[in-house]
Amino acid sequence: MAKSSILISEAARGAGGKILNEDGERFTDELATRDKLSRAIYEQIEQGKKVYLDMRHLGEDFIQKELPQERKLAFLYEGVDPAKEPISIRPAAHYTMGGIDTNIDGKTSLKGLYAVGECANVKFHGANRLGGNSLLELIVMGKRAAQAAAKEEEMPQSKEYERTKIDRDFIRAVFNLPATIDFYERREFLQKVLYHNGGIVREELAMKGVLSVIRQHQRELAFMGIKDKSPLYNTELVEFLEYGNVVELAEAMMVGAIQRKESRGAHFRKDYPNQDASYKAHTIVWKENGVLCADFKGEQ
Amino acid sequence: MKIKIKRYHPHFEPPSVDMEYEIPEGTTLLEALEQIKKTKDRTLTFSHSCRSGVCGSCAVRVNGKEQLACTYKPKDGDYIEPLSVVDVVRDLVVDKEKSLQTLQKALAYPLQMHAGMSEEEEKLIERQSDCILCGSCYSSCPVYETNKAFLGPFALARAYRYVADSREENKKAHIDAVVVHGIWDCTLCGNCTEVCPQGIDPKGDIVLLQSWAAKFGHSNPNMASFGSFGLEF
Repeated sequence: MAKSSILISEAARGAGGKILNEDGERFTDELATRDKLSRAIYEQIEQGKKVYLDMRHLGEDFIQKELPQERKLAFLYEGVDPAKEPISIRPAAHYTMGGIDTNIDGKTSLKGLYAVGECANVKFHGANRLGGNSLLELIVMGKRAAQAAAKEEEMPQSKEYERTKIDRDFIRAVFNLPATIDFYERREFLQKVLYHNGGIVREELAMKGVLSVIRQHQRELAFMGIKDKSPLYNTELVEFLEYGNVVELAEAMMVGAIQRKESRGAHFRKDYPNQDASYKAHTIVWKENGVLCADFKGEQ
Repeated sequence: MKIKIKRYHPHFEPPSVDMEYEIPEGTTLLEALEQIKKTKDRTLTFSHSCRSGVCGSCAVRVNGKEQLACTYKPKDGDYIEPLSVVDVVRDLVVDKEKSLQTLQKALAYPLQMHAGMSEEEEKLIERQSDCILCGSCYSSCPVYETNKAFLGPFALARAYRYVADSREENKKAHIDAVVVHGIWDCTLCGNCTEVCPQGIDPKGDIVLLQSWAAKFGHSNPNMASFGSFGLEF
């Protein structure tokens, strides 16, 4: 939904909801895959036109019975009753198809560490996840990972790892950073830049611009930091650490997207609009001694 | 528009203090809390995640009544406090650990299930399955004032969900788990039902569990003395 960015389920389109622009024109097939639909809606918005999801023709009784959650959310967050008015919508990031590289048992490259769900990349979804498949992933992979983890013979030791020490020292240092630059403002800025240049429609020059913004943010991290100095349940600290992760992951994402000179699923390049079979592989990004490395890895 | 928030930090003296904040009109309470944190006070501490009434992590009390911060629209003069009964960690953040343990004690999970159920059978437990463990009902329950061991509304509603599940074969074990510090200790006041953001009716489910318990030969220990007026005949 346009105002709140809260998800209005695909079920609304599946049940017959129409997507219209502000002139009342249908400009796309409502049942198309998410990538095509997002691009079609984005194109209208770029032309300065508002886009709506219209469910009125489905009738109040049907909406209440089949889509009660959608009705509740629209009413609560947009102040709109979908039985009486169309809902203003826009495309937004709802799910990350990539993630921590795992095998079919959820195993990562780090011994004893398993990743399951949206954080993981078990390669079910490719470049375009189908609706409902995140649930499939959780149910299937949750079981597989649990079974594999139960079979682990060597339990991780509870000891002072080198990494634990580095992380603890880093967190201590965060309390002493000057906080002259507000990371909340930086985070909002990065979100905007990424939405418009690293999101639904991508091209090389714009993405390289984003990359330089990201590198700027990386340099400025030492001037950010936190104002809440309490060691107890410090949510500002957590958000700051998350922002650091955002900056790191955004860089990996942009490097991958720049290298991939084709369009595939949700990755749409204006400068390379066609799919190219030589890229039929997952982009794997990792760090070696602090240096970002990227490679392509074919399907297993 | 102004709201008052009950702040708490165990290291401070005094640990608890009410603070008033100016907030904009037309936002949700969660948006207002975020706005305060961003622009006025970075130390304000609260829990949240989905922002759309699905995850159950932002429940607080507004003027004494449990609400999800992300679905509640604040009014001028509102008084915001953390959930009751559970321990407060800091400001509006509470420790739900002990309350969640009631799910284990009440065996509120599948024990012996066969596969397959009809759509009608699924409908029987649909409502109870919608629980998001926000803890509102637990916080609203007056039984905890006198009985800390009470299993509580969400654990009992979920226990009922497994008793009423057509696939569950070991209903007796579920019932046996809820007769001590459970279904007979409830005063049926209905606070839990009133505050549930998901429209679940734990009070009703507890009454249903009571009749299931009777089927398995349990009786209400509080009624024993009632029935005979406490007299021996």
